[in-house]
Amino acid sequence: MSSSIPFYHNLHVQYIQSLASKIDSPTSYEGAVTEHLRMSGIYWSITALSLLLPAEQVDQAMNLTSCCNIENTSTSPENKTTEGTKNQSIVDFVHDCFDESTGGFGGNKLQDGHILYTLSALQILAIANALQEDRFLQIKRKVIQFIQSLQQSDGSFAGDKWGEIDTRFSYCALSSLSLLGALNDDSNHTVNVQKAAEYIASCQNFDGGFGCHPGAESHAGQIFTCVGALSIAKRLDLLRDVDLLCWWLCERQCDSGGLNGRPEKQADVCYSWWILSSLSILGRVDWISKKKLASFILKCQDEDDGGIADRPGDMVDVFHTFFGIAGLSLLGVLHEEEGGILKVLDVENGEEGGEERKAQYRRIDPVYALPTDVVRKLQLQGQIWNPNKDSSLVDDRLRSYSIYNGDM
Amino acid sequence: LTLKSSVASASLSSTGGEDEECLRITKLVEMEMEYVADVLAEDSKNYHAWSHRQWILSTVNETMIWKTELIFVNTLIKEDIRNNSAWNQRWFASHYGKKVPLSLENAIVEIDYSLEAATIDPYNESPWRYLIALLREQRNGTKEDVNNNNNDEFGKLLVKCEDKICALKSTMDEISACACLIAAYIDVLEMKNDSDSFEKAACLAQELGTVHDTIRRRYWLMRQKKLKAYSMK
Repeated sequence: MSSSIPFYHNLHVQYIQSLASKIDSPTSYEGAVTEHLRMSGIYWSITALSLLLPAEQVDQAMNLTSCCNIENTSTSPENKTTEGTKNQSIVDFVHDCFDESTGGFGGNKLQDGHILYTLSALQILAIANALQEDRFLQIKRKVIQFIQSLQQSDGSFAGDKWGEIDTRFSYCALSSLSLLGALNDDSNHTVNVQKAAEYIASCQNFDGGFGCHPGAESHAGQIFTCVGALSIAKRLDLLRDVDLLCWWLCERQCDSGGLNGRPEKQADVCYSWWILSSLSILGRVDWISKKKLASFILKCQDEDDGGIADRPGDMVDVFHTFFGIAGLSLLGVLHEEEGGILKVLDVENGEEGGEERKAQYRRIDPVYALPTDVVRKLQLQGQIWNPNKDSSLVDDRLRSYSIYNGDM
Repeated sequence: LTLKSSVASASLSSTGGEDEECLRITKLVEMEMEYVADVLAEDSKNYHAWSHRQWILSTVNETMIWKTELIFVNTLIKEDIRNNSAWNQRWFASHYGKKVPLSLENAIVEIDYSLEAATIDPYNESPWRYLIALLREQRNGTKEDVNNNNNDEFGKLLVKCEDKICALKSTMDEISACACLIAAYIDVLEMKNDSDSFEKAACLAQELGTVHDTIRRRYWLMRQKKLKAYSMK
């Protein structure tokens, strides 16, 4: 029994592809208010598109590794303006955002290095297969040192030199180091992963959830960062009362089928990611009503111009577009065989074309929020909780991770 | 902030400078807490405001500031009993920002508070979650109690909660059953740790999964199975 609303493949692809020129325009309001997080914006758009199109098409459409402009893509001083990426590839842009003085990446050119944008930068480079390029290898050690410098004595991480502490930064740090292959780098004592994990565990609250620091209100987004970080650190054993945590998460599902982030708040598409990814890692995705959530996400699409909004009827943005698509991937409905809940509408090629598209969709990894083929290629480490003794029940995309069975 | 070191009571030997510094910092803390309160008056769930407030409380860490925080939190809960941020802050303040379990006496005060709030609006998640967490905290304490004194007290506490929940349930319409009330009831029964209670809890879990909270039917199926298994041991 399929949902009456299709998945508007072409519209979403068009929406994402048209973003760059729209946002880089000097008169764009949206571009101006999101300038400081452009790196993350690019990561959201690249990854979203990567789920829908094969890698080569993404590269071409987004000027990921090269740009069609034959002009020199040098990093000369004239190019270091904040006027966008018209004459550069995205990888060039990422390198232009490297902050020599800190060793981190900024959210845009000329901005200070911060752990959030460092992760986004590395995620983009991972998708672009650019982590082995010479120009990256030259700065790699500096990036590792930047991350290392942010760890505090209690195991927590600051976002930058100004000292804000947040469990999001713990996730960014561990994920970044994992992408760099530097998580277990004993030779140079990168970070104390065990202490990082213990600090995160200390943030677990009375209701089973996690906040931004010990005692802070449980929040679905923070829960993802904590569970994700513990997965990367392979310390899921530090979680107390996982059933309670997962119940808290599935209690976020409202009558509309959408998920909210904490009690008594409104459903929002992005929680489809934060919550589903956590439940995936903990082996309890089926505690969410799949059909109802998929239906909610599909209702949040803009059926005229593409993209996905936080809730039905609102204006779309790339953040919610990415997390909506990622949510549909984690639910499995984006990858179901013919006759599943979700129907892909491919305007150019009719119903059969839609099914073909679906068959080609790539899967998102719940730990690293990257396409699974990228995670496998880089051989990234992680751990999942499988409450069943039968390991054959583990989702395909999680098979390369180590399995923790809890009390069994 | 170095409030701790400067809150030595004004002594005959203290310098004027130390006393001034102490007063200055106290004033600063007051102003900052008032500032955050103003922000929360506009947006009572603002995550960053609560975060900042917690930092101030933990850094100052004086008995009086924790007491006044409980008063502040109570005001917010009275304004909006469903404000989960305020409930979280109540836990934080009553525990002085630490993970040390409450004394039985203090736990009873908090349990009564949460039951009262649950009675006012049973469909509100927060007080139920708060209640169950308090009970679990006390139960985990009894596990380490060598003399078993607290076991009786804990048992009495569970019975009191069960009675109140049943009384509340009986005043409510069967048709519009309250899932979070029943969920809390199941948790209380599970803590009673006897065969009949497990059996009863399993039935209630089945009811939730099949009738009142079908959107989470797989979760309730898991609970039902576990409780059934416990009842047979």
